[in-house]
Amino acid sequence: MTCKNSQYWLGDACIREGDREPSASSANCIGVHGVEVHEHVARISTEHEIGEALLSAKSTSVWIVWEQRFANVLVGAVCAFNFSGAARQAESRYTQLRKQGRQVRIRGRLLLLEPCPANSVPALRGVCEHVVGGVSSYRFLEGSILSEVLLSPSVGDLLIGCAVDKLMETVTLIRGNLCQHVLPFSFFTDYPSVEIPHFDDVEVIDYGQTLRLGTYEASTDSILYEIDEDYRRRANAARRDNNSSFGACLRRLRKLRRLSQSDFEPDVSAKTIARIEHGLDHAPRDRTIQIIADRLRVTPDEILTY
Amino acid sequence: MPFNLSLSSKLQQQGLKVKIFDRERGCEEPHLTVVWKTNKWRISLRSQEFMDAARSWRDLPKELKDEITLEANWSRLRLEWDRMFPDNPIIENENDEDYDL
Repeated sequence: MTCKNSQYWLGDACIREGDREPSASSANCIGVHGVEVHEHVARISTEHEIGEALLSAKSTSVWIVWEQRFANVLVGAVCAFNFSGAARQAESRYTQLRKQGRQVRIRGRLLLLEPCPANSVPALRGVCEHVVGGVSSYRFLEGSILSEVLLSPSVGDLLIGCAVDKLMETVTLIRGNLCQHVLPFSFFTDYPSVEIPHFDDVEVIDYGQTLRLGTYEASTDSILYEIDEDYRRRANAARRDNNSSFGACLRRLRKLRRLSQSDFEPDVSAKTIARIEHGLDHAPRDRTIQIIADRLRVTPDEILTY
Repeated sequence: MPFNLSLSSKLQQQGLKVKIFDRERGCEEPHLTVVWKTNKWRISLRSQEFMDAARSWRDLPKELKDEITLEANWSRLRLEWDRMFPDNPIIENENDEDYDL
């Protein structure tokens, strides 16, 4: 089994409460609201198919368990792989692992879309290092919308779910590549806004492009721009007005922090800030840059990422 | 709450939305965002130009452009941006914080 972009789907993608019955499926269609599985997605359900996937998976692979019962199938298949003859016929590197007394585990990230019994958690975390979901506090996009996001070329830049912890005052965001970001409530409440975010009712909407907190909506783009340097670099490169000079980056970051040019005084004058931003001061002193960076709550190197 | 431009039922049924979010990238000029499924287009509320390269009106239905650029709708969008983001207005103040070099 070869899997170009390595997504492995276990279970029917749209069997969730309130969804319509899937239409008749073909070899290439998961039978869910007409969403076809692309070449970078493999549907697997049997022990043999899971065993094959264990061999071909990479560290960037994403395993998606749509239905909780398939979590049991997955664990059972990994155990069977490790303790049956199948592993002996595996590639030599897996045989080597077994000789070292190490078990084959799921490579990549595992997404559990339905809550699992607490007893199952140790085994699931034992077969895969990176597990997302599996508890009721997660709230994911539904059915065919989630399928479409997972099949999108920009899947990593979209949100697929979130979880709120009111005790710890955090919002955990899950991206389509299963990276998670834990943000304090203050990330949202400290942002000057006419509307106030409410944490009693939080969900991802608009095919992962919006995080809704009560009646307050934040664009996924604005969140990722602030917290993910790689996203920020790509977003800046995609901008039509792609001025990547130090001065332009400084200006953008200053505006992001809602600071005026005079907010760096008395240590750095507004005139100096203006000169730097307009490219009239090509070599500001390191000490000056450090003061500016400290005020902007970044390292000097990070300024160029904005 | 975000500002959602009221679109025709035809455009709504296609899943198109025109939004100004409560939280936008704070460093950008005033803009609206067209959202359609996993895609987005950002259009400057000052120039009506697309803010990201490789984006143009060719990507979108003509009816959508007509509705966005309709004078009443365009004015409403600009008013709403100024209401939601008074520190980053459509028309930059003459006494803007920029140091006079």
